[in-house]
Amino acid sequence: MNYIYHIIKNNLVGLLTLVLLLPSLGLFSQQINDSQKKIVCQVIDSETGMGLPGASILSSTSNQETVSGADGYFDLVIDSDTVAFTVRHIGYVSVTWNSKLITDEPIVIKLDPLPQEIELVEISTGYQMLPKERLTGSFGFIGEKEVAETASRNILQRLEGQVSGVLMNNPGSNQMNIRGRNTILSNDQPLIVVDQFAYEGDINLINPNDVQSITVLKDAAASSIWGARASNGVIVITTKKGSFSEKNKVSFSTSLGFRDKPDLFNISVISGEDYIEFEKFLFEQGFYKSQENNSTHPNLTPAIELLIGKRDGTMDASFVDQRIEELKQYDVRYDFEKYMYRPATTQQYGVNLRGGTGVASWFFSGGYDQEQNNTFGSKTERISIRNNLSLKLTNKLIFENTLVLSQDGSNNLRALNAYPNFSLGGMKTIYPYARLVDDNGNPLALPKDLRDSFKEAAFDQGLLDWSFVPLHDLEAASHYRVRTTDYLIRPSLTYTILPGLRLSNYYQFERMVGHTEGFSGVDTYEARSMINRYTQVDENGNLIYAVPLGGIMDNTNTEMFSHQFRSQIDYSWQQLDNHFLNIIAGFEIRNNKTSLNASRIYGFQERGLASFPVDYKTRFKYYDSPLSGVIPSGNRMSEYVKRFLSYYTNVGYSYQNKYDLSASARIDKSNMFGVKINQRMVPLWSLGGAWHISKEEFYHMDFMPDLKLRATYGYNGNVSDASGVATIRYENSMLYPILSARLMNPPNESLQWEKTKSFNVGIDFSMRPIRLHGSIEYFHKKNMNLLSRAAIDPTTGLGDLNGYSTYTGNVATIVGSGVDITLGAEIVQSNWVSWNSSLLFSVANHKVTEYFVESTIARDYINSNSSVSPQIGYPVYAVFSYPWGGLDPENGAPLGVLNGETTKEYNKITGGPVEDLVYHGPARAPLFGSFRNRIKVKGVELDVQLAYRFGYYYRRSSISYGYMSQTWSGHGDYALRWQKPGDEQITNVPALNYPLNTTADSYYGQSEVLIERGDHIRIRGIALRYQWQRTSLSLHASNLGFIWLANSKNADPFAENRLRDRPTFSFTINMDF
Amino acid sequence: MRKIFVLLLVFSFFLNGGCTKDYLNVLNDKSLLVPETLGDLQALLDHDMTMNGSLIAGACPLPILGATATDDFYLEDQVYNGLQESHRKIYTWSQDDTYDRGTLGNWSRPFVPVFYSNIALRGVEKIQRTNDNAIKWDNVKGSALFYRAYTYFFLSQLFAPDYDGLSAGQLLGLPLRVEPDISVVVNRSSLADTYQFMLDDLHEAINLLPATTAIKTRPSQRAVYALLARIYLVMSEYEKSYQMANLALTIEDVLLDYNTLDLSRNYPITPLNVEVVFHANMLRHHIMEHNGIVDPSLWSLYSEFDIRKGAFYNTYGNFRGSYDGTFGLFGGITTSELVLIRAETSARLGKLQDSMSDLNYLLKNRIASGKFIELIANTQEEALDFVIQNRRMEMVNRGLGWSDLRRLNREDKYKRTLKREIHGQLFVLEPGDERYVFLIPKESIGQSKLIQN
Repeated sequence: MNYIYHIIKNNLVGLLTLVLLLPSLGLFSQQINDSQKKIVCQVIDSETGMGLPGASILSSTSNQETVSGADGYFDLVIDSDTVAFTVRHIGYVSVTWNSKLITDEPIVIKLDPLPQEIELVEISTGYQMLPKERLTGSFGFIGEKEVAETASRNILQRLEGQVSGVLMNNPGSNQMNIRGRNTILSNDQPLIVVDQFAYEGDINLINPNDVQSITVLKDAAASSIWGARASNGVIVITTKKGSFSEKNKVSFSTSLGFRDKPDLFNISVISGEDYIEFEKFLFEQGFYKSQENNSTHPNLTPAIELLIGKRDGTMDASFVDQRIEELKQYDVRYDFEKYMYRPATTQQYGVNLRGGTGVASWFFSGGYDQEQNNTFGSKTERISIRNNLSLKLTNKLIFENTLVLSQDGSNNLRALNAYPNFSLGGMKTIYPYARLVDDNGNPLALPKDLRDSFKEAAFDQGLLDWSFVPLHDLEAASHYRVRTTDYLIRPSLTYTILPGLRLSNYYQFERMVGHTEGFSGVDTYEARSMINRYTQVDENGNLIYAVPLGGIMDNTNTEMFSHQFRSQIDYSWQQLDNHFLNIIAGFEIRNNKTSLNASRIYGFQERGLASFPVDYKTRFKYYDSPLSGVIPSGNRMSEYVKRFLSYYTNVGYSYQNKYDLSASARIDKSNMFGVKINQRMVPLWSLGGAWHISKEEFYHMDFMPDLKLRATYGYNGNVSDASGVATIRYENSMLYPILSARLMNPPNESLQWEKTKSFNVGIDFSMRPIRLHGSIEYFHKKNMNLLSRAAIDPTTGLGDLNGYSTYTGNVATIVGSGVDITLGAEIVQSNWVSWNSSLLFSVANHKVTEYFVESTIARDYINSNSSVSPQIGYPVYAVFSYPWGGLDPENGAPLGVLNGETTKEYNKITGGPVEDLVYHGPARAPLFGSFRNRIKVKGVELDVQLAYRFGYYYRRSSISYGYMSQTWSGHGDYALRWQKPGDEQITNVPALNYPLNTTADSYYGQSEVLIERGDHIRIRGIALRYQWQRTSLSLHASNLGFIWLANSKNADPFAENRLRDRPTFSFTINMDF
Repeated sequence: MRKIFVLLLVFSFFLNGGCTKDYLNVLNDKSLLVPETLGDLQALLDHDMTMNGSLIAGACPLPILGATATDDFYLEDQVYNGLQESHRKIYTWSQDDTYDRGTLGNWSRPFVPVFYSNIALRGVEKIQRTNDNAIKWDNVKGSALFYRAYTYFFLSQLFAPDYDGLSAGQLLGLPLRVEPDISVVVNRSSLADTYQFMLDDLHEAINLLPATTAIKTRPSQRAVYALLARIYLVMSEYEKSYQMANLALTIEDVLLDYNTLDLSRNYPITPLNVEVVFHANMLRHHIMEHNGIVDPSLWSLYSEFDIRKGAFYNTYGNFRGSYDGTFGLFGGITTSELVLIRAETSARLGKLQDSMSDLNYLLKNRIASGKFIELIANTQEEALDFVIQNRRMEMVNRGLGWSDLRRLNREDKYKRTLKREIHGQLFVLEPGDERYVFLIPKESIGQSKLIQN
């Protein structure tokens, strides 16, 4: 509690002091003599009516110089009744004012914007607003209009294809990398900032309708102000606010979306007939023998049960043969599509009000949206309420407060997995010829966990019905509900001490409460199976239920508290158009606590909320196996604390609007690093400069009226959870009821945080008469001290359950470089038709340049498409494969290649040196971007967005006989397998040989013949919009598929062996009043 | 200026206020602790999943390679075909330094208890031993020394050559880790040093531990004496071995009467029973799990009334006699082993009567009541024959079979050639074959540049 006290003490005393001092400060500034008079003026944009801060005012009577503050207000002291001054603001036509003072009303000066070539926007770094023109660093910006143009529920998904250098992991994902990957093991996601503070809540809780703009900070100058968490880039989300003296405006929007059922036939699956033939083959070899006699009674498929019956003579042979022929005809995917899936629909509603008077401004918004997902019983919901209020307490003191209340919830059925991972116990999944209903539509049972005969015998002994009927479970009382509620309050006080000098104090409190409730009613398979397993039979044959009859209820409560406080001084000074200086400095304190508390209740009855206590200590013999175990308690607790203390500064200087310089520095201290690291802290810093060449007198390139050159250099950090001290965690001993402790972390005092050094150079330009504008940037980054797991000698004692031993250390360096190009063209501009085109093109290459402890064994570099395998000279995500020597003409076994000769000693290659592998390329696209065209005729706009990725590879799945024998699910390539000599000419799919050779299977599965190119161009979305007065209608379609694919199978590289996303359609209405 | 001054005052107030070191000194994860107290260290050593293992615990520290490679069990061809390649190789004694997911643990898992022990030993040195904490302090130190020696013993019987007093100084032993620092590279010591290391640890542990313990996953003096007896036996130092076994049995010598076993249970022997001195388990045994069948040469040794026939094997001849009470294989210490060691060393030292009385004591608890007839040996040689044969019958799958094969292969009378036949192909392992020493996995050879066997 000590720290809360500290925070309260700091904040309260600080704020109190401030409040107490304010009146006196106010007095100081109001030292004017009697003959003088103070007038209030406001500079506003003539088009938007928004106040313009940062305008310079030079009084022609008194030679006073001042700068307009927030919302454009400034005070002027005059001697006579004549008011005369000049107002200048970047991007606006200067105004000279000369009038007699008539009223005491504030004078409003309207500035007309300069005709724009480069759009003038102010960009938020989370610490300050910077005019885009003065930027030296690399920023990406999306305005209100672009944010509103996409329909996705998650705000981060709306970044896709909008900013160069940003690559989403998958379409529709909210995970991304900005300018390539900067780390190996640590968090690789950018820092998310909402308004002033790092956002710690669930990103799904942010209602996209409340977002004004998004800024992406890409290089060191842009992001190093965020210090030790900025290596992966920073995304600043600015929410909507009202502005002073703005008319009330109400807008309403609603959107309806639709997505069809998934197409299960997109997944390549072995046919029912082939699978039964495979089972027959294994059965004849005696493969199932050990399972038949196994004391744990593992489940067997219907075909195997029939074959056993035939062999043992308990079933009629001709009946069995006929039945098997029948089974071969079925395909479970039809049943799944019919009974387990439905079209998905989404609804979104939002309403907001914004406005203001001279002393107050407000923004209120409310949103509700709901999605009914493709699987039955699954839906999500979100409610959000946001309120922002600004009050001018005095001319110098502005109070602002933001209040947010949001709730996100989802509801799913418990324990029914989707296709194709529909579990039948252990590794087993749904077999191809399974049926969910019989010919008359009655639900059927599937063999899950245990053999049918065993289940029947148990039932006869009086246990609960042990059968698993998926469609009954669909109806049974069960749910998995997640509710997350977020409360956020963010008051701030900004005090203008002198013109140009401001002190701001911000505080943010956020509390996010999550509740997960998993319930399996007594009629669900899960509950029945659990009760049965722990049922004890006494000598007299009486049943004793160790797990009481009733439902099982799991509750998990999570809570996140976060306090953030910032005190900042802003100083800006301007001398005519010659010098402009802007300094900020401040400190920030952040405390975040996350806790979790989980429990489980047995014998739960929803009616009356009754439950039963159980014995967690005794080991009960399982009914279904010779093993025994305690009843899982489900009680868990955890608590994490993250604390940061940071100091920062940023300086911007501009000379004659031609030359800009920027510098920033930041120190972070945290409880995450350990004392040693805090002690040897050095600031992360950046330097940048920009040169507006087109403003030089010698510049005469008329076709390019704007040209700016800029460059930055600096450092960022990346915090990780890795700890350098030896730590243990208490848990229970298994054999005796005593406490024991597990070693969680070996001692390693030399751990450091990760650090990124980056360099960025770019030009911004606009051209005419061909109306083309854009920017081209080059970057180079060096990510140092990267943490990674590295192999270590097993005799250290770090061996895991599989025997492999690894440790975490600062072992790697990654060097990355690339280019970001953004181009926009106004191809046609006329009164009734316009055609705008934009192209984003990014190159982001990186490779590991240092890795102190490399594994020397080839198989360590073979992995699934999504795990890392760092090796010097290659990207973090690299695709390696085994060399392919074709199939053995004699038996169709896969052949490897070693020293130029084909071999079947796969271990010599998989366990051999890395050099024997084939390298294909990166697994994440190094070339990517989007191409967008908008054609507008009168009020109708057609917007077509294409996205592309080039230069990457992925591993296609194929048949693995060993895996299929364990999991009951196999790949459709089975049909293409080698069956007779000569087939090796036409296929690469190995033959089915017995004994099943898992080494051969995985050699083939990871060989070069299954590597495909991922390059593609796809239609990201097509939108049709219509604007009629204040109402806009839009129709949006996404996930429309590919227009070009490089791979040989015409396969979707994003949907390898999983369900492909179906096209999504949405219809949106927006109305402003 | 004044205004700026006031302002700076306000500002600096925030900067100076109370942001002390304590604020940043909180551990990030509240469920994590830095092991500092004797309680923490004892808890580390009580982590039975790491230090002892049991199928129930889900993980085991002791290697299983030896049990896999003895000829006590065989596989039907069909079952052999179903094994993964690495297991087929072990089964047919083909040497390979490429270990995989299923087999690498034989080398790496035993070093985990060594690591834990070293952390405890390092930690306990930092705590002052006082009159108040002496018992706890001694127990942590003694236990850590014992666990370390116990796992090294298992490794020494697989990855180091058979003990030979004359050449032990020249032969390669094991890398001996004495501190928890993971950055230290440790090379292989000599075989003599490896044995001396275990003996030193154990002799130091004797006076630190209680005579017996109710918690059988914790070491006791009995366990220390027993392990010393076992090691001296391997070193052919029969006199010392006899003394140690005798010391252990003097403390307690109760055996489990097999007449009391419930043979209708799948696994008739309950874990942690009276006969267990120290509980430990070996890694999962893939051959046992694939229905290994008792070899006829072993099966034929049991008499008609020997309860072990039913207690150790099911009707298919699959093993079910583990002292873990599961299909996981026990690798700890039992009183029956101690009785057998004393019987063997007595015979070797010429104490004929003592030897036979120990053996008969064991058999009385193994043969059906009323059917037991005392064995009588007339010569020292005959007594030793009885003991050696009964040791094989009793100590099935308790982790010492391979060690016994290596040890007895030194004697012409007791050496044995191992044979397996698969699909008509014959595999043979002659006594003294270099394949009696397993290769060290290439992971260790590569990382620490260890010299291979």
